[in-house]
Amino acid sequence: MKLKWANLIPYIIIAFIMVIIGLLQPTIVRLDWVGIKTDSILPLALAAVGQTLVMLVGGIDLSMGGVISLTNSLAAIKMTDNPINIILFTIGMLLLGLLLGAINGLIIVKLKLQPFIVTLITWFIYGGLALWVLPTDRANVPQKFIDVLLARIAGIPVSLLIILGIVGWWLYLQRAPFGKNILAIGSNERSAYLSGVNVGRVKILVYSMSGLFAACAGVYRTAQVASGSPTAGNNFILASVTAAVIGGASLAGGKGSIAGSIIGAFILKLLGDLLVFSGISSYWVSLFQGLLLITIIAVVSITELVRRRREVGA
Amino acid sequence: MAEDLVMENISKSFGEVKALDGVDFSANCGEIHALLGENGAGKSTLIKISSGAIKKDSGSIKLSDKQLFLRTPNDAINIGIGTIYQDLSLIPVLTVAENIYFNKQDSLNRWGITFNKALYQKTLNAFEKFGVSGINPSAVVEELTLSEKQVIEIIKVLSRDPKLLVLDEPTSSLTEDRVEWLLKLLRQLAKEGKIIIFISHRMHEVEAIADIVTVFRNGKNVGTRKMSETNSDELVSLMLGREVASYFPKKESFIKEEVVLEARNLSFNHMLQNVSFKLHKGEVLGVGGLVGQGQAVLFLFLFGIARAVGKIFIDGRETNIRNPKEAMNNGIALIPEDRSTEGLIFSMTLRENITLPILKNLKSHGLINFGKEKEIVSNLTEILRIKAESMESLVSALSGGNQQKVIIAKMLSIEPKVLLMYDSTRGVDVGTKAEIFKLIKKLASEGKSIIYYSTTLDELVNICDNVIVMYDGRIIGTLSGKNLVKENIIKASMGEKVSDLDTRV
Repeated sequence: MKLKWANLIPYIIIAFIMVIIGLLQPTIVRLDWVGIKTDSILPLALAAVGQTLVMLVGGIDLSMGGVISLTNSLAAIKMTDNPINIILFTIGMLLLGLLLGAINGLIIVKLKLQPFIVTLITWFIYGGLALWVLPTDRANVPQKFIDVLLARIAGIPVSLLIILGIVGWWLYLQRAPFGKNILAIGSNERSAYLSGVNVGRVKILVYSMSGLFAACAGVYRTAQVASGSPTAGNNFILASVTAAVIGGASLAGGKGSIAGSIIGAFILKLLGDLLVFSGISSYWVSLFQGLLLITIIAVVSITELVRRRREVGA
Repeated sequence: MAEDLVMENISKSFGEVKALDGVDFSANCGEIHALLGENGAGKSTLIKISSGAIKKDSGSIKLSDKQLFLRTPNDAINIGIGTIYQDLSLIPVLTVAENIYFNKQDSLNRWGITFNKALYQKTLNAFEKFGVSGINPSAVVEELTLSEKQVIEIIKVLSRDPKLLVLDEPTSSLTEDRVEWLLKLLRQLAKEGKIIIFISHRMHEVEAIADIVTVFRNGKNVGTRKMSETNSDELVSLMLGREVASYFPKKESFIKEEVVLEARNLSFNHMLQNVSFKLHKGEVLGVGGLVGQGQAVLFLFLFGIARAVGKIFIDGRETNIRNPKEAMNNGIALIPEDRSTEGLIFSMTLRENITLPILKNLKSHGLINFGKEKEIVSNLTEILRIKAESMESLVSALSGGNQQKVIIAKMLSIEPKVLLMYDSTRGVDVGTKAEIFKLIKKLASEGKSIIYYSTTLDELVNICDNVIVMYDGRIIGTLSGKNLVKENIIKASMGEKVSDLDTRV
């Protein structure tokens, strides 16, 4: 992949939003504010990372909502105060996400069904399991668990470290065979197959990872809001797709950036803050958010459009 | 010999259709073995089996006396079978270097990753080894020309150093100088002891390069000849299963005084520079030159897809063509280059494809008049001799040659005055080509005008009344009458001014 200036647009937009928030509320933009924001945005960022991986191979993962709800619900009611139990339980939740994602991948690859339909249905199933486990919102989250995930290490929030880790992984992935295989499948699946890529295996792995990231989001949300909700995940489905698109991903596959999607999640959330700070009535926030989002996405895609124009007939 | 490829009794069916029917085929190392046959004769199916892209129903494959079991393309690649596909297997979003070393373990460093710098250097080394120049290793593949992509596809396969090299129509998208480069390279590789299998529709290339020729017809191997002991007439009659009188129609001109379309000073960036020409009624105007000299932009502009500066006059009236619909309303039809992405809707039937541009005219009381539609479609399928089970057959089920005819039928349905044909015979079998040529002459005799772009010199010389040769976005020469010979087109294509040109325009 070559660095194009178009890939920098999300970063320019986030800088722009930060400056405006800083101007509107000069007292608020401090280091601890950034930490709090990172904590609150991390679940969406994690979901967006998983969604981006799936979108890169030309798919979509709607079941994410169910996985987040289920892991959030289980973690909120079944975890005890025992540290060993907390660690084992966290690992267990992540493995559960991996398994649920793998089920999506297996169905999509082996039965050759559309990702949209498959994950729409598994969303119902995983979400249904969450409602069965926890019919109403409840909180029984061990304080130690919350303290660890919301901790500051030498002033740096754990959530920020997680994000940096993921960005590092993405930098590695772009240069590693697995990352190139993902891009290749989304860009031209037949070419990838003829070039010797095991398309099925890569896809199953990608859906498994999406499930894993969704479980991470569910587990982290448990600590972040100190409670569980059987419908917590539903808001994440379309928000994660939106964040990925703001970050430069395409629903057609073969295009996208994990770092970009994380920035996309920040843009999505901070835009709401920005509107609140600018004094717009909360009834109007959704409308304005929508208008701004469409503008941002148009800016992100306009460079692509210009490139196509230039290319016609070349 | 030990390294030879032996395929025995290979059969493969797609549904009811037998693509290969008990085919025996063998190729020796150190030899260039050409496969000939009309589209749908089974050549492509055979090489897809040898490359692991599809599975055979029965039969055996041996390479170097070893039985092969190919389940995926990866199996074939690891055994040392390199296949260069007709519809390229490159990944559009990756760079040239990333594509060449895609999925190759030896391009990774000890951390299991690759750095672009190292990859670019490796690519430059490979380019030097194989004599490639003028392509940037860091360019993204989707931004390359077709000819450059084809070169990258070839280098990608060669850099694995395969024992058996299979090339499916590698020259159809290469520019003339690169064709020469490839043929020389293949000679060299054969000398090194590789087995080379080469598919081409261009007879003169086969004559120039092949040691052995095998002809396929209807899924069967109908004969293997030494090139030195056969000739093109025998090969063509083997391919067709009948004697062909003449491949090109009689040279006849139906050109009239009346000017149908005139272009004045068309310019677009550096791709088109002051292009002016006149197209007469009944004229077949050829457009020649090397690939990528502005011909595509010219065609896209005339059909309202690309924008350019300059004026267009249709029947003497200045006309602004802003989109394909306006072009069609003005009687201009384009038969595009890439039938799979630009010309056809594969999930629709023959009938639906053909009448797509004229649905508005078929409307009566808000609904489509089926009777009228069927009449038009059956008329056109008859004129073009489209072979299909019925007009309700899906276009995706037709052979390449018949798909091409469907595109032509679709564009004829609007009854155009001017037909733009862009490389319409690319990858089309000999029989269909002959029919297309006949059709062009028939249309000209009916007073229609045709602008015909082709990369094949023989076609330009034999089909067209006049030929404009493009070089670097300009018209460098207009050839007609006795000046219209292959030598002059080549000279002009290379940017040479051809002396005593007829500058009729």
